[in-house]
Amino acid sequence: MNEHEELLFDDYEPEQEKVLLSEVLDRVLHTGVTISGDLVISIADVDLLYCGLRVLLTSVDRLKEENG
Amino acid sequence: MKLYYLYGITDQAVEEPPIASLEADGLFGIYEEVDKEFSEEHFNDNLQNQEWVITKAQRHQDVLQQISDHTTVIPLAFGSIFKTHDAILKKLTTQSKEFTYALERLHNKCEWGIKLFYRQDILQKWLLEHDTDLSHLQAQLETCTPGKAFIIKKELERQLKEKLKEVLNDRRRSFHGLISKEDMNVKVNQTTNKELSANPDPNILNLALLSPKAKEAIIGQHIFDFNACSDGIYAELTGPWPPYNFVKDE
Repeated sequence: MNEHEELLFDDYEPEQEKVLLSEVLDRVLHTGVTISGDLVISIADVDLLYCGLRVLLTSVDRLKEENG
Repeated sequence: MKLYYLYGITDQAVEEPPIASLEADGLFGIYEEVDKEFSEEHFNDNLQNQEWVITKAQRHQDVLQQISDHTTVIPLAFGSIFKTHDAILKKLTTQSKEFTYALERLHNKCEWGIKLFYRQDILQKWLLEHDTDLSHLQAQLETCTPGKAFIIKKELERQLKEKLKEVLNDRRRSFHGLISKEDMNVKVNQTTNKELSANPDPNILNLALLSPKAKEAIIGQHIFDFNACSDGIYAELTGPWPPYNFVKDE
């Protein structure tokens, strides 16, 4: 087996899991329909809707910066 | 206080406790009752907790995947929280035309992710073996005087760098072109940053494909054919996914 083939067929299941997790996070945290683009807080309280995505992205990026 | 996490919109009911659905205008909002960790008081704090984020993101994906395996689903953004069933129903009703159109557009399709990476050491070796100009310079290096060797080595490094760039561009363009000829939507996403990616090799192309479910074999064949060229440039395929990247009609 040459180096390129080893690259493709190496048994790297733990790495495979990490790849899938990063793919999940990439999709879940960066896509999807935002029903409301703004954070809406109802005073009276019948409807309460969050759009957590923007906040989350900022937080996760900050976490990564802090962890180096 | 009850809170409801709305995962997605479908055209079929899903009742697999704790996952439930609410119907309005032929549309179903798929949701789950969640606890105060998603409340406004706690959500922001929890977002600072990487493990919490990963667990909840994985749950989001798992629920959508479960639905997507059986029917068409419009994925909603992470953290779409409602306080009442009526609020969910109101959203279904007020946006029913958009959701209905999106479901028709996405019907019987799924998303695939394809990323191209390369291993520099393997690619350089392949170039030195297969490129005539580089092979010629390499041969000269083996027989010339030490003085001349310095100049030839510099020239070899310069040409190697340029040809590396050329072959990466060529392979990336040709793969993108090939995939684009198939009957599927192709979205080019930003390449992943090495530091934030699980794969340490440089990513040169990041595609999301929206493909009819029947085309799985064709996509697999393209990947196989691409990876057959042993130059150190390789494709990774993931999926099928719910259509995260294609909820907007662009």
